[in-house]
Amino acid sequence: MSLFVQDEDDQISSEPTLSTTYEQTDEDMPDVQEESIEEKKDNEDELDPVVQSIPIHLKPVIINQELNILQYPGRPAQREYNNIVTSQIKPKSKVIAISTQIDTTKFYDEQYKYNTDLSNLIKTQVHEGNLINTPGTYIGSVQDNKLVLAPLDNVAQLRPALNYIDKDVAQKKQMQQLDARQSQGTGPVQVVQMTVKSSSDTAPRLGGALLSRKIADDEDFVNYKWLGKASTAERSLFDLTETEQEKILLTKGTKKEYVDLLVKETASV
Amino acid sequence: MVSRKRSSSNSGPGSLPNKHHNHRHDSNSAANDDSFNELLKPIYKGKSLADEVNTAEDKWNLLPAFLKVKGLVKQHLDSFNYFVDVDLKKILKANEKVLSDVDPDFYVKYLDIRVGQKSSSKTKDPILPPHECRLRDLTYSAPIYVDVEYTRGRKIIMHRDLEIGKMPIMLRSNKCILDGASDSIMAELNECPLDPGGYFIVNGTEKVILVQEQLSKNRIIVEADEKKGIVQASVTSSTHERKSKTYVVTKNDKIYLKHNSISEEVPIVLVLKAAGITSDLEIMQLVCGDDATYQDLFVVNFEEVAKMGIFTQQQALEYLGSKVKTMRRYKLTTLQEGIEAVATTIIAHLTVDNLDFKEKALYMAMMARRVVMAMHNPKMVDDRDYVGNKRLELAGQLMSLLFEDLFKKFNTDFKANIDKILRKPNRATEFNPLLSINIHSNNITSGLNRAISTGNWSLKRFKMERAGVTHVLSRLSYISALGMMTRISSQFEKSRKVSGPRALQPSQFGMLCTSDTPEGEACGLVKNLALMTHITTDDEEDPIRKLCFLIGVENISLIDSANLHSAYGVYLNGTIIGTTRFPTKFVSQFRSLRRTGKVSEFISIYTNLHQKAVHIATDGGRICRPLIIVSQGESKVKSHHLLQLKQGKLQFDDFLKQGLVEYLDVNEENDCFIALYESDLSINITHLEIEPFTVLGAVAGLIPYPHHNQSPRNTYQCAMGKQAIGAIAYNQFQRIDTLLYLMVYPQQPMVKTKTIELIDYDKLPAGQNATVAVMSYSGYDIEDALVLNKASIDRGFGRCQVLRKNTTILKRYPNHTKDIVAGMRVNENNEPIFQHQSLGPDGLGEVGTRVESGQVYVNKCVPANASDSIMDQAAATTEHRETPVTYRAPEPSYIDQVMMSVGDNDQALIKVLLRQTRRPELGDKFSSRHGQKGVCGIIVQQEDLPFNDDGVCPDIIMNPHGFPSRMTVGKMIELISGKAGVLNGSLEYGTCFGGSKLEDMSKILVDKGFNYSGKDMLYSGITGECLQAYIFFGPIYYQKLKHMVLDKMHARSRGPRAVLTRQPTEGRSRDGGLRLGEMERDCVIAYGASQLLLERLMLSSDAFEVDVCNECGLMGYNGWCTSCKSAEFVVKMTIPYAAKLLFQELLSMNIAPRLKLGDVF
Repeated sequence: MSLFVQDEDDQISSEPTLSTTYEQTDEDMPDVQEESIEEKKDNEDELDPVVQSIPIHLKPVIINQELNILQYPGRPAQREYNNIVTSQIKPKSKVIAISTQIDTTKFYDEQYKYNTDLSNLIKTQVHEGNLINTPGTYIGSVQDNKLVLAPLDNVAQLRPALNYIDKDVAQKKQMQQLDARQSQGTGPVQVVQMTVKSSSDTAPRLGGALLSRKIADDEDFVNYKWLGKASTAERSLFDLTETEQEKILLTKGTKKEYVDLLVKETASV
Repeated sequence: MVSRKRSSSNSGPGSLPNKHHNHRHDSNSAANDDSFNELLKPIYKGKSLADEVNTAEDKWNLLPAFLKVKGLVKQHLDSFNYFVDVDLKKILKANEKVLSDVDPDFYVKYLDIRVGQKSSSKTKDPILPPHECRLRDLTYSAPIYVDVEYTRGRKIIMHRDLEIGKMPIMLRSNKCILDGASDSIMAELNECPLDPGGYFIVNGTEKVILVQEQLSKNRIIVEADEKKGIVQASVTSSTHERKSKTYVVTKNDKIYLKHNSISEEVPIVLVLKAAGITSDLEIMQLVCGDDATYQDLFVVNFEEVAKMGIFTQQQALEYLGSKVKTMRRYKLTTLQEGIEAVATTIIAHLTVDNLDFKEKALYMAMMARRVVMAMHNPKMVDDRDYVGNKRLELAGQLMSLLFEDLFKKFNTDFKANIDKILRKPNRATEFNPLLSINIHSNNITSGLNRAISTGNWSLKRFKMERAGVTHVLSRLSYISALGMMTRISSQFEKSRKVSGPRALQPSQFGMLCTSDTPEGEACGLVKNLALMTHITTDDEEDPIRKLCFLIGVENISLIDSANLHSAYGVYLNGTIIGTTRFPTKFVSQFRSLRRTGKVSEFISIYTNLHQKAVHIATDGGRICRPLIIVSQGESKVKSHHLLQLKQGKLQFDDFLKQGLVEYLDVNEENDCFIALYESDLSINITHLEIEPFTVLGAVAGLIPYPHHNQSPRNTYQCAMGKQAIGAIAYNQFQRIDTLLYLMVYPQQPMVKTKTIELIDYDKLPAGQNATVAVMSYSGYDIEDALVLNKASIDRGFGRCQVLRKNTTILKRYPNHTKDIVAGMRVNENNEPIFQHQSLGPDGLGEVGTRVESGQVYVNKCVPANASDSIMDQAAATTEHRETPVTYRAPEPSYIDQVMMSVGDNDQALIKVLLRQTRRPELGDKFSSRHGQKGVCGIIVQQEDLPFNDDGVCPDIIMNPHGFPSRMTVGKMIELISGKAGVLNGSLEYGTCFGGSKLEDMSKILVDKGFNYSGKDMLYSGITGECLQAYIFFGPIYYQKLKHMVLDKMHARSRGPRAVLTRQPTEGRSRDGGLRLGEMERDCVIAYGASQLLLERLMLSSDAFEVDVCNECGLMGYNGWCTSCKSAEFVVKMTIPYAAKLLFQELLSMNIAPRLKLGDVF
């Protein structure tokens, strides 16, 4: 399947607590109602009449499979990356990294300073980003006048990681320190008084972003299965044929009950 | 506009209240509100239910309905209720655990917090009633209970209703026993049912926490200094933990980020890279969008960072971390410092807990964008003085800041105590933390009390010291107390000479009173709320965010930089949460949800076209006011609604729920078209004013016909109305205040306003209707002086009582001795001596007796040796020394009340209230309600005063020169309306932008055989001849002001002198001398009266004889010069002691002034 669908994706939000209780091949209740609310509002707004109503098909959540949107800010949507080398993830801290082959035939400078070590030519580009959970978001596509929605798990914005620069800087710093130490030589011996402190007193209690960062740094990347564009997975996700034996879900509640459900947190007494 | 049908004689509102007692349709909630009940009667204000209802004229009825729900001090009550019910729980949640450093398993966890109510009981704890607290100098407070869970050994124990201190209770808040009390209960508790509440009683004094005005927090404010060419966007981030300010500023046309804890300005591009936006393209897109001009302005910023060689987030973070200057207990690496800076320090109100800095990056990019916009177009700056950018901080918020500080201190003390105990190696018993929690409970109680009673708000965590937050509630008159409750003080410096903050802002229309501000240094900085304002409390953000996504806002985390600026940004409390492509539709949908009550009515939403933004505000402290919704050019409030309102079937809240009326804050008002009158409605109009006179506040609302006056006169009246003597409250005779002025025969004004009725000024008035003749008389009326009629004064005009309190405490001493009250002493005839004439056998003044200067009214005695140790058995029975409380004043007083009680530290408390009844005398100050003040210049026998055909004599003669320059036309109209009302037997209205029409009043005058203009033919009382001119003659409401000659008169021949300078003391209270100042001195010099000068400046002041040595020029003593060691050249002479002092002080600084003497003649 292609993951580069951000141009045509149609995000429809719904009550997050409800979106977890789907059954396979069922059309989802909240969405049907949402449609009707839209209609109602449209009716009120006479300048914008309802032209056509189309059925919504809601695809089920597939367990053990995630549907993520990867965004590459700074790269036009038309220019897809189709030379993915590896895809990796840190499952706990939800960092995703994808490396792509660099086209060394065009605009590639082998003499560039980070390429000086020819044995270690940079030939892949690593994109990194954080997966952000977006409950109540769907990917949709229109097929045969039917809107097919698949629940979306995460969104990530991937940016070039340029880790080799950091590595290089760190290396140089280390070298400098070593140099400095060597040039200092063995100076006069200093008497250092040492006190023993329990480690709990001195170790900083990390919290918030620092803690997240530490967890992420400590965690190792694991391979993440990449379903390429040509895969059949895409079809299975959006295929209407797999949802032949569909049941039409009718709502039991009224519009008012539904709206009240939606605003139950904000309504003033 | 509003009320013209007052002409039928039986419809005067004064005749109504008793007529229809049996026809009450009231519901239970209205039972205690008589003013509202009148609305429910068949005939209200001269109209019956059968009358045709005209929406245009009757929609003002919404106003009493609003005030019934809201009241004038509702903002204080709401805020306090929010604090005790919601905010306290939030504070508890944020500080819920107390952990020990010693025992990692130990914890104390707070589960719940309540004020004045135990978890087991359904009702409030009984607390001491407020009036008793006033009298006994106690604090009106209720216990704070917490439920805790803690470990004891291996067990987890839960404990309910643990008292951690006492919370001062705001009167009439929902924790107060007066909440919802009926009039009869109020009477039982000695409370005035008209008293608005909203203040605290701390140590017996009534304290108000004034509303504080501040710049809104967590919002971007863009400002430009055109001279320096600087544009800056700043945001004050305020969280529970800290307050900090982040700036995005230009410097040489490049943009930097500035923060107090970052040592130098950091290029904005670098900060954005540190926040994870490593791509230059993306930064450009975030800040500038597609706009080429913005891109040109911004592009220069990339250069600097590129030159630094910073490309990755890690590099940027390390750079940032190296610039951070913070004090930490633990050393962090520069990378960690950088992460910490981006995550928590910069723009502190958005705290990032995970690795996703996108929200923060967007916020900074938006700040940079606003700066770029202002660089491009200097008009894109914000106005600090705009009311929409202000937030009002109320009692509840201030209390919550203070409480959190105290609670944190309480917890740290508690923790320290626990650690101390747990550290002990072998404890005999299992540790019970609750034993040590009670030790600290006094800290919270006394901390709260001290802050409220001194007004010093010191918050450790913000390192903030603020003085003068609370004020003693002024009880000079009902209106002065009410005026204080609606007052807003600004944090702005009074001394700075900038006009902006003081100027009348167009945006304060309907929100803040346009007239009521003091003159002088605080002018324009102290403001007052208008009549129909509401101040919001905080609302939850999260549900609103979810709701926004539900109605079509695209989540910001899904939006990429390229598409960000193509749609409208949706901002929730200043932070972008998403975008919408159809802002108009979104806003109208949101509004319709609000109008149907699906969203809190105080949440505002408005579009800002310049910023392409939709702003939603849920934060507290915004000023808003209700307006009638208009759709399709028609008011939604129809006559049948008002009919139902009158019948009591609808309340104000029903109007809100049905979407007929809604609250708009200042920002949203800018997004609306608001019609003043129903006749102005058209298809574009969105809202309609309920009543235009609500632009004024409670105090300015007393002025009749203010729209005919020159505006400063209304401002003057607002200041003077607070000084008028009148009725204070229904419980005024039960009160024992330090100083209380009461008018003996107060009257409600002949010419009322709607506001007067709404705020019940007619029930507790401060003034009398005087018959005024505008003419010259006797020459004692120049410079606004008034001529008073002696017979009127005899009848009680302007008579007032002054009640003064004296408090005596009978102390107990550590050696078991105590102060006592001794009986009276008698002379040889067994009659009490003069000093003890008013004393009773108990040694206290007898109620009703007269005390003259020099007489004693509390014969207190202190033990002769209070310092001896307890061991001395004799000490307990030692003799006492008399330290009587003596009355000293030019005029005698009468003892009104004597109270003896026990204060909170078991010491006897004696309060004696002394009363003087004063009739007006020469020099007493009076004023009308139009800023026209004057003193009494002469009191004339009634026989000598002019009279009219009916034999009516004026009470006051006022000089006509008071009118031309002051242009108080309203006063003239008040006279005509008042006169018409007198003749007609009705009370007339002078409501702002409405009121009784002059034509109608003139018509009544003509009908009753008077001149249409209010002039009468008068006859001289002296000659009996007809006066040569027609005299403007009729009733005007006059106030007696608190400035009275008796309190000011002062003279001295000899008296006390200051110790240091030996010059006479200063001021009346110290029996001081009258100063011959510099200007007077210059006059005497110019006149050449040198001997007078010598006498005034030296002989009558501080003449001092010194010995001066003519040889060395220094001063000696006893005829001996100490420096020359001889008496040969010593001369005696007289110089001012101050001069001698100066010479000696100079000597002490190694400067030797030497006197060279020469012969005078």
